[in-house]
Amino acid sequence: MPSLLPTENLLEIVMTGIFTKNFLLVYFLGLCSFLGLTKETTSSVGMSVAVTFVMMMASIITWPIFHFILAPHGLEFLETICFILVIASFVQLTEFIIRKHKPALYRSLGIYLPLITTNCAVLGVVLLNVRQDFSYAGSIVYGISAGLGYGLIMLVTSGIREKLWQRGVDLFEGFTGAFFVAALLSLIIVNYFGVIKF
Amino acid sequence: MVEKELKFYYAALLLGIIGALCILVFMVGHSMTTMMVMGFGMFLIMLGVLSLLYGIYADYKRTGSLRETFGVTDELIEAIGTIAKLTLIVIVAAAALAVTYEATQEQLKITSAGVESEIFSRVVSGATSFKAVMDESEEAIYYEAYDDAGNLVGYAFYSEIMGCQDVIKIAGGIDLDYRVTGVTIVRHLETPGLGAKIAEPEFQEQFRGVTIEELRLTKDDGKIDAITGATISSQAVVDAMRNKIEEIQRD
Amino acid sequence: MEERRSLSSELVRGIIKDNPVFCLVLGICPTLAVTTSFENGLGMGLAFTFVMLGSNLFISLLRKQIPSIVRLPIFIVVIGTFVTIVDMVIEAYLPPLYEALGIFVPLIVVNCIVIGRAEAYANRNPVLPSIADALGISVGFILVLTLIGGIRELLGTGKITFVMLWLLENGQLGFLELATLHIPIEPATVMILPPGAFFTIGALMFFFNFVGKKIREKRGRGD
Repeated sequence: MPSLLPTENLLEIVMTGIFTKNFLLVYFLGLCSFLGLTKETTSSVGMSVAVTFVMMMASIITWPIFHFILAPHGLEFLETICFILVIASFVQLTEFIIRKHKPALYRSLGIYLPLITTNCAVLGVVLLNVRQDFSYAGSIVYGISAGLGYGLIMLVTSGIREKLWQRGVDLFEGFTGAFFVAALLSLIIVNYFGVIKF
Repeated sequence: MVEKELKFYYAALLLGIIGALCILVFMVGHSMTTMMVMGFGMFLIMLGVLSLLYGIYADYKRTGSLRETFGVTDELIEAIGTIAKLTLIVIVAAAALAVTYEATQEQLKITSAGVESEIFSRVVSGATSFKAVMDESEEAIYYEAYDDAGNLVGYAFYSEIMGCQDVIKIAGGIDLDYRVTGVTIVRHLETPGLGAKIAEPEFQEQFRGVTIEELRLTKDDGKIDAITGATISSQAVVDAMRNKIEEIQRD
Repeated sequence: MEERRSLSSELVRGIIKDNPVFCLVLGICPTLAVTTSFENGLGMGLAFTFVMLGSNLFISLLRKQIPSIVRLPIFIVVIGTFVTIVDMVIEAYLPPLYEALGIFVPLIVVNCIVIGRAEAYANRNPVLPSIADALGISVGFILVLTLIGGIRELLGTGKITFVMLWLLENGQLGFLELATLHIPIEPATVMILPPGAFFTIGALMFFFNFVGKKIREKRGRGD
């Protein structure tokens, strides 16, 4: 079993999560929200904060479930179902709590929560945590930095899109423009960060 | 909601708690006294059960219907039905998965064993059977390679190292003089067209017959030409081989 | 919606009118992630087909028993079961494909197409139309995956192999040459890297939007 304390280079994990293995541009995870929610900066920031929070919490919750419950009993094959159910219940629960106790926060962030359940990026991060045998600390750090990487690209794209929108161009009409923007950003990531070793 | 014979239920609860505490005393020591305390606890719990039954009976007599006695409503029945269906589906799903898991696990062993000896026979030519050499924690360090006649002809091994993108896993073979007999890439995620060329025969053929001293890139006075534009990947393969061969030599 | 639609029209609808990727813009993630080659696209498409068929079949069978309040968890469990089964089978029988597809097989469970069809179609329709719907959607998805995979492989490596290497035994390498098409251009490695995926789907999206618009205009004039 991987240890609780970090055994890997945490800086490397952070850089991998944010840049070299960016979730949107290199792993292609969470593209639905990339296409749907980058219309304005506010919604993309809201979604990014929500995703980062859920990714962190999902890493915190699923690691013990896998390493203390599933793995010791030889039930690794239940990982996918367990993880998705745990994430879905957690998101649902958070939504209830926020709606009841923090209505203002709910109006700005909570509406993005239900979208996260079917966001493949969250399930992707916990599956990658398990497949790469990260330690507990490592997987939490990875969860946070993957969320930050996702947020970075969301923010950049929505900025570009908003500026063009003000000049009367809808970049994402028919989605072609969206994919070309993604291609260019991805080119940057792959070329400039793909070769750096930490 | 009907007024219930609550006093009986409270009594049952209280008796049950005290009884349970008395039984817990038995955990402390197994003397005569604790035995008696436990007996008393059991007696109390029995009284509690009787009280509970009597409460239900009294309620039933007064309302005349079992549904009202237990406070069963239509919503409750529906909720129980929902939970039952959900549970049933989850149990069926888990059973289906367990069956598939058992079935595929067998095949997985066969496949990976087949893949393993297929890979190793490529890196140690002439060898047909391989025996793992374990360390203290039962992990295979390397494999002894035997030919058809049962003679030891060399050693085969796996080695892992960080490449450009992800971990590269290679399989290598050496003869009894620690000369490389072959190398092959088991798994890599290097850049296609550049680092991915480590998986091509032109690169791997260079390793054949090389001694440990010569096992460096040409820029470090070795015999292995790095792939143009992919020095990191080439260096990784060379290092992975060197590290493992040195480990075997020490052993 | 009209009541009696033939099964064949259900099939065709999934391929063209409701093509999951180009018309509904769903399931983009696996479409881009695993399409580095024709055979990987095909492998992913087949895994997807299995899950899609199983999920539509079971959910349509159980549709009268599923309490609507917990339908989403039940969908997830049913889909997750099929996903895990296909994942384990690929791992055991086709290790090279398992390496290539990685976490994208388990991620079918959050694929919007599967859960979307379960919710919108299988939960309301009888078994046979649901199967037809699943087949149509899957064929549409396979076509897109192989198309993108084929384009990227062709431009990125200069050749395309129309056969699944992981099905071939050792002695069949001659057949492999027959099934490989070479083109005399300098390969552009970037097409295999992530940016190539975005370029390809962007260009295809543009093309299909353009064609769709032309067809609609023609129809409009005809009426």
